[in-house]
Amino acid sequence: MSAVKSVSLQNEIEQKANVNLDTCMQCGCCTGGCSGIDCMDYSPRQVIQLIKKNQRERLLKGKTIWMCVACHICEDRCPAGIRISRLMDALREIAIADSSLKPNMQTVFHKTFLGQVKTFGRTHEGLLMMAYSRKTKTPLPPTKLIIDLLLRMRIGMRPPHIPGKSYRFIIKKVKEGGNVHGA
Amino acid sequence: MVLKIGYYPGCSLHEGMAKPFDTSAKLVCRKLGIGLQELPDWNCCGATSGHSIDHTLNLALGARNLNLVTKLGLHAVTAPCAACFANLKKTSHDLKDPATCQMAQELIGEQIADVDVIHLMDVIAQPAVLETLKGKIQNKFKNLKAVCYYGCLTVRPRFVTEAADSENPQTMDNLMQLLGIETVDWSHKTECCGGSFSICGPEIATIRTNEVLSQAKATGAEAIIVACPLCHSNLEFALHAESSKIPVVFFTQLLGLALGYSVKEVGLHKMLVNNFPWIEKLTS
Repeated sequence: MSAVKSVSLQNEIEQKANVNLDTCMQCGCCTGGCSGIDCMDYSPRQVIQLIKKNQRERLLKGKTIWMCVACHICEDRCPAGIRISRLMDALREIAIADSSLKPNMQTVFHKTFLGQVKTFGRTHEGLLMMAYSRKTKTPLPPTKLIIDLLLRMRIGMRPPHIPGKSYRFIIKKVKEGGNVHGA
Repeated sequence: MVLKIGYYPGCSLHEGMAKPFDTSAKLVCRKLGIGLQELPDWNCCGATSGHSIDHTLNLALGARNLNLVTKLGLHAVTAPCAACFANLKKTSHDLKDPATCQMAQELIGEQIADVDVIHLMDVIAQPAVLETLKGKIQNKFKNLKAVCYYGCLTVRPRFVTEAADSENPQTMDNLMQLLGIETVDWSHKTECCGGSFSICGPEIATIRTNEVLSQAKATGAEAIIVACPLCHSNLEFALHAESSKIPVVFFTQLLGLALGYSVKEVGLHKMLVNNFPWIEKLTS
């Protein structure tokens, strides 16, 4: 991280997400429509301002990037056409690569999810739920719901998929590329 | 007329909660002359964790799926799942950039051709398919008031999805009206239900879900029609917790009923609210 820190956060984000933050006029359309705003510490409009002010720690340690639900309302409405969802993705990617930051419910979920995808090529809702629940010590859904779903044959009971050679090849390639943040 | 298109079911439709979406989509397409060819050994599209924390992996996952379409000799693929559609469409969009395409080709070790990604709703809404549909409707709905819930990813971001209107879309409304359903205009048709956070961020998911549900109920709708398995399970589970009798169903299930399939064939008996009087709402 030390080499990256010398680069301004704005440059880093602009490059990673292919956006131009200088076109932001702080109108707040993004924030007006934001679906995650109730649980955020900084609004999307403030996020852009904080990036420009190089407030790396405040953003990476804050709640906003993990409470962005990726609904794309912000970028759909942005009059300057800034791809705000991509910018949030870039911030999350920087945060998850930074080992000094504490894991949270969202980082555990994403890593568990992608770990399963890398192994099986697909996700298995039941196994994912159980693995996540075990890692985070969160309770499984209510028993009545599980029973009703089972009675309606809505929970997949077959073993996970086994992906072919070409799939394992690309996963190996991605790992070699060094952009994998582990399962 | 037979229209051939690649079919990407995605994890949730394949063996998960949204199996009835898969079954009903296949029945409807067969009846309408849409030849779905499932991609062999397709992999997860990566939504939403892939693009959230590892864009290289997300690109590789999407590029491999799109390449499977090319290998079938096809130029387009459809995904009923909104999240799969949006993520595959995003990859297809990103691959138009030569540097990204080069990187993806190195990751999957193969040449990449241009592949169009179309949501199933838009495949069915093509004029020629609509004509076939009109001719094959066996039963129409009567006195059924419903809201069409598009959620986020069938329409946004519009410069990727190419949606005609991302604030007030009409595709699903038009399809359902064709079946005799009274679709209600409402405020939250493209608001987010928080579905991708139902497991890992219930604090925000609950706020979003309650808002969407309270607005849907305020319209007096008897059913909520969706096009996304995440919206579906999220809304359905929330309604189940409050013992509500409002069914949340996939648009393909209602198309299926109108095309003459039974409640069981389209999987409506597998919904959490499975005692809704669908048959009484149909007139032949």
